[in-house]
Amino acid sequence: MQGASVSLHFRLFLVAVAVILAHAGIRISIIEQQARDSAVSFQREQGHLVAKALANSLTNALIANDFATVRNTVDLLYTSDHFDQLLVKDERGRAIADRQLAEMKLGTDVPKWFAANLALPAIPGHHSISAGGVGYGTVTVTLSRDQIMRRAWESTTREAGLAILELLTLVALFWGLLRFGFRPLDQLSATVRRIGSGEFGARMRQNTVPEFRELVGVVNDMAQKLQNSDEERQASEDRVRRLNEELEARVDVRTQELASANEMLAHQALHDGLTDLPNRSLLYDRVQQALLACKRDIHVVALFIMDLDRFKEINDTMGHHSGDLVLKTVAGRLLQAVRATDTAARLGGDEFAVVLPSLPDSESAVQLAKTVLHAVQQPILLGGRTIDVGASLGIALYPAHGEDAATLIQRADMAMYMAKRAHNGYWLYSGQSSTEGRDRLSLHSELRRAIETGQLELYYQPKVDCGTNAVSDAEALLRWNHPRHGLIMPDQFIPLAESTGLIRPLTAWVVKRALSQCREWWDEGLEIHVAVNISAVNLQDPEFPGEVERFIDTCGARPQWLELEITETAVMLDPAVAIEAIKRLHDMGVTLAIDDFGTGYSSMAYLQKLLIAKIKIDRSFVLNMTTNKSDAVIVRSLIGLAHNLGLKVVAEGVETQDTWDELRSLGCDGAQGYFMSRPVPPGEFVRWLTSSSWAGRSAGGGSR
Amino acid sequence: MLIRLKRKMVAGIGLALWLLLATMIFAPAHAANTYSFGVLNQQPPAATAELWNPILRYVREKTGISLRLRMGPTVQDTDRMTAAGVFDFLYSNHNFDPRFGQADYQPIAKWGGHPLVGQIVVLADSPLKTLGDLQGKRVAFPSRDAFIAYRVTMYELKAKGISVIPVFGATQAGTAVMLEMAGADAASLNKLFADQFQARNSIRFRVLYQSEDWPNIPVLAHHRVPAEVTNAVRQTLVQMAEDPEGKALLRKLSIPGFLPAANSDYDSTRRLYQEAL
Repeated sequence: MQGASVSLHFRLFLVAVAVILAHAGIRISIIEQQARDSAVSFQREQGHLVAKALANSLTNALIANDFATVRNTVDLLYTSDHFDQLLVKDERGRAIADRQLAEMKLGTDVPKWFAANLALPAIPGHHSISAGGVGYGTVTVTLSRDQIMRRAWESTTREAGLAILELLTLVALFWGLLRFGFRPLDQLSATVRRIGSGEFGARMRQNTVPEFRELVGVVNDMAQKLQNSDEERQASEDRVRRLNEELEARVDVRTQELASANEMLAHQALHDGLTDLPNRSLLYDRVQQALLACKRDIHVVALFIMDLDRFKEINDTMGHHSGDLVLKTVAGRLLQAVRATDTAARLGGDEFAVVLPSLPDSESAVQLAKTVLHAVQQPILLGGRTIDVGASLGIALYPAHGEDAATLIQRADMAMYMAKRAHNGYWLYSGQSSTEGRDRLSLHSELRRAIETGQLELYYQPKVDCGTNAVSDAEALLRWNHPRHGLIMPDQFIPLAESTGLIRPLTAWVVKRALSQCREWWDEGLEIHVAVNISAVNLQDPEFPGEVERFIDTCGARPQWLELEITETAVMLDPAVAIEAIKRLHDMGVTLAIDDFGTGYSSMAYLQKLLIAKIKIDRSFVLNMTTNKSDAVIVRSLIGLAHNLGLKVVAEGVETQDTWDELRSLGCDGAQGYFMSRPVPPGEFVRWLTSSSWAGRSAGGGSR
Repeated sequence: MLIRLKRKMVAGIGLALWLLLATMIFAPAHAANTYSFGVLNQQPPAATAELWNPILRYVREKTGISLRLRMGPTVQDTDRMTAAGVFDFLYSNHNFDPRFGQADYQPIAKWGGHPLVGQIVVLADSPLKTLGDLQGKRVAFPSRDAFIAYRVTMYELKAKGISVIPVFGATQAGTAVMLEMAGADAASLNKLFADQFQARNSIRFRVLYQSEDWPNIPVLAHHRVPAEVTNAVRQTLVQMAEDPEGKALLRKLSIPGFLPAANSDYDSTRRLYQEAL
């Protein structure tokens, strides 16, 4: 595993160094051998050469027997230190001159191991002295082995030096070659490392060596692909990051929206959506707070509950939008009228409340109530019309009228009903107002029970044809025969029924009852049509026409016997739904009439489109038409316009002969009112029909 | 039969013994001796040996007479040895010089070819044109003992009253080299040598003086040498040019061979030596 950390080119370098060292070893041994061979051959050749030269130089002397010259020459030569021995013999082998070392010198100035390795033998050179084929002697020369060894040592060291130089050069060259050769691999390694560390822009330089060129191409292609995919990845990451940021931004926005929505919801939970005043819950809370605060001092807390008079009319006649505007205006006035420490709230519908903490006494509460009423009851200018707003205000005080918020609210409510009943503007709670309030609170359940237990009753008021003076129709009018309170008129419980949803069973009961009565009459030979008032709520109920059809069937009546009276505002509340209901009823054969016509804003042309057959002029125009010219003009115009559109006209509130006469002269189609008969129970209605002056003209005399 | 056989055997043995004896009797008596053969120092001893040893070997092979070359390290040494009668045979004419003529040497043959001619030469480009130009100049001679290259030429110079400064080159070759190397203004040389030198060394001499012909250097024999030996040697040398082997050797050595010589042939030489120089 350790070996894996040694680079390839270092290993190659080691191999090369090993080869070079082996070569150097061989080289050195060769050098050594060569030194020996050279020394031997030098000794042999040079010894021979010297012997030959000496022989030549001594030839003359030997021929001339000049031995002195021979010896002189040998002596002279021997002094040069180049010889271990110089020997000249004559032709008979007698030594003429013989010089040799007294003590053999061998291997001075050279290392002993070298001298030992060299083991240079003594190789004497011989040469004969002859001339003209005659021998004169021999020369024997032994070169100085000491000098030869020195020379060999010098030569060896020189050669070894050269070999070392060559070795170093080879090592350097090989190192350089490896470095050069492996540079692309190093570069490859470095590049791949850089790529590996994420630097995908790293590239290898182009290489002229074909093998590396291909490798460089492959690596650079790989790097390019990595770079591309990295860029794509980065781009994807950027996109994801941007999306995340956008998402976070959106989440922030949503969070803020949610926060503000929560805030708004919290606000809405505690405030009224229309007026932005605190709602019942918050009021309750504020009352409690005021009570807690007040317990610590000697002041009183006042609670006002205020209800607008005739608000339903405003709503019905001018529409909900106008009603809303009225409510907003009232809320604004209320806020301006009370103190900064007071809390004005809307409890729902047209009911408002004010908590007034820290009042010195009950009188101040009454004063403030007056101030509030005064502010609220200022006329309101709405759509170019001035609307008078009335209000009834109930006052309950802490601690005199209650110790807790619930009690105070209940009692202020009771006081408010008292004020309404007394038309007194405001009413400070008392024991009596407590009873009244409780009655109203139980009215709802009682009305429900009334429908079930038969406390309700239908009264009938005849409508007389102005042309024939005959009774053709009877309007069914609801009465609540309360076991304790006696007879209760519809205007006292119909709004309650409408606001609580009891209007549906109530209307159903009325329609069924009227149809049953009509069936009875027809069975008895009295061909009387019956008219029933229906609420705007009924007209908005898509199931209502189907119910009517079922009732007609179950009662065995005919659609033509039934007339449904609706107010203008009921139609205008949601014309599309109303038109659909009216069309279905009309197609069924049921007659539709507009009740209280003239108090709303319906146009005649619109009524024609509504498939209305009849209009009933509101009693307010009819009552005084004989004495009030403008009323008479209105009635005349209405009759004229209705007739021009093919509508029949019935006048309500006919109480005098003059009115009856006037209507007949104006060409009115029918009339209804106390002049003929007040609404009476069914039995009494039949008796009236058979006994009164109108009776003869009605029974069996109907045109229908 | 057996007797006949014995007779034959005795006869054979006797014949063999006779043949052996005869061989011993008729074999040259000098064969057992080695005679010294001196040579004048015209060239260094080695060159002399190269020339003469083959001739001496030829003689031995032809005659059985062993001749050993001997010479002194210098011409003076050889001349002294001549005077002392050291050599059995001798190739020299210095014995005609009264100074060295004490020993009794007699000519038995002489160097063949052209007779001795002496020359006084200068280098071809030398400004010296005539013999008279040598007045007071340095003239190289082999030695005072040289005959043709000193005695003859110096005699001529003196006869003409030309006084030169003599310098000595020891041998003919040394003298020529002295001229060549400007050690002398002129050189006195054996014409034969001068011609060979010029041919060998690509050098040109101008001859200022050339002598008349003088008899070539003789081969002398000391009177102690037996006559048959002297005769054998003389005969061998003289006949060398006739013998195929001898002729081949002479051609190889580039020498003309030997001619018969009489004592009288060198009377003029003796006379010249006797002239006081």
